[in-house]
Amino acid sequence: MTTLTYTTDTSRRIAPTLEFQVDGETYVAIKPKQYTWVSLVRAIKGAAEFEEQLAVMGSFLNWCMDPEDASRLARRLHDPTQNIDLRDSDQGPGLMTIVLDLLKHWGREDGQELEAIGIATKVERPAPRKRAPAKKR
Amino acid sequence: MPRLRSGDWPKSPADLPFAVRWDDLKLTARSAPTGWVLGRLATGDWLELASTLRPRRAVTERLLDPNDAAELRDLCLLVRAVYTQAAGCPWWTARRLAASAVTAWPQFDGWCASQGVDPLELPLRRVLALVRFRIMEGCKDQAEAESRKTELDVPGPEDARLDSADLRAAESAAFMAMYVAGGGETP
Repeated sequence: MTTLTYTTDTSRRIAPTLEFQVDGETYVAIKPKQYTWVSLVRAIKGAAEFEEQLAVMGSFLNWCMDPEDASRLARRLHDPTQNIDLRDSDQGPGLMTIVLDLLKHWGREDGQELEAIGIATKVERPAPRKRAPAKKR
Repeated sequence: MPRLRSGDWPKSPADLPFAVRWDDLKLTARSAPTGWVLGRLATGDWLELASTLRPRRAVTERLLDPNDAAELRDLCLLVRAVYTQAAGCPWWTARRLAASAVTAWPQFDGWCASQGVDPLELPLRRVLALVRFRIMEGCKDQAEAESRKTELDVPGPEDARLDSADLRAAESAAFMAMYVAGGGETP
């Protein structure tokens, strides 16, 4: 029986990290693998509702941060006394914007490679929240 | 009718299923209905074609594992190598032949029926060979035949974007052996 052999080239792989700050507190994001990156970008595109954005954030914390940094950030996110939110506000960018910027950065790094295999690398903001049509009175 | 030259066609492609070894991971490239494969090949949907690699979970786990160097790109190159082997011609040629078949399916299927052949019952390499035969048969002269051959066999810019070193890795020893057997011509 034919056996086809493929050997992964490990020499060109790098796993860079990026620091980012939320209100002066520093966190380290770990570059996701291409499969993870694509999954996150697709999830963000479809995340119109707050709950969906929260799920994306959960995936980001799991896949792109070390557990200690992830739980530190998650604690702040769930702490009502902390002025930190998923969405942008007068106080500054929300976490979703930070995640998008990180994904864009990594998308630029891997862009040519991903586009060569037919995967779009344009990172878009989440779809706007759908409003229910106004009821006629 | 212009004839194919010796070496135009690989002599020993392998029909699915066959074994695949991705580093230490042993996989099987399973067979799938020819019509399904033609549709995916025609659009270059390698992610769909990757679903014929089993066990699927093992493939996904490699792609998700942060400590594993395997990336989507590697899976793409692996799928291309699998279907290069199964098609008996380079990935890009297989795509173009499949696209020709899908675009003119009623005519192609009708012609096959007139020859007493059901193309969907044939292995992939045989269907693609029939498509190529039909394309070349329709050429008026040698010049048109050469032009058609170039259209089918020369890699496109999107293929050139994956650098040659990676293609060499993907198109493995088995692939190269196939071309050596076919007269020493590599695509």
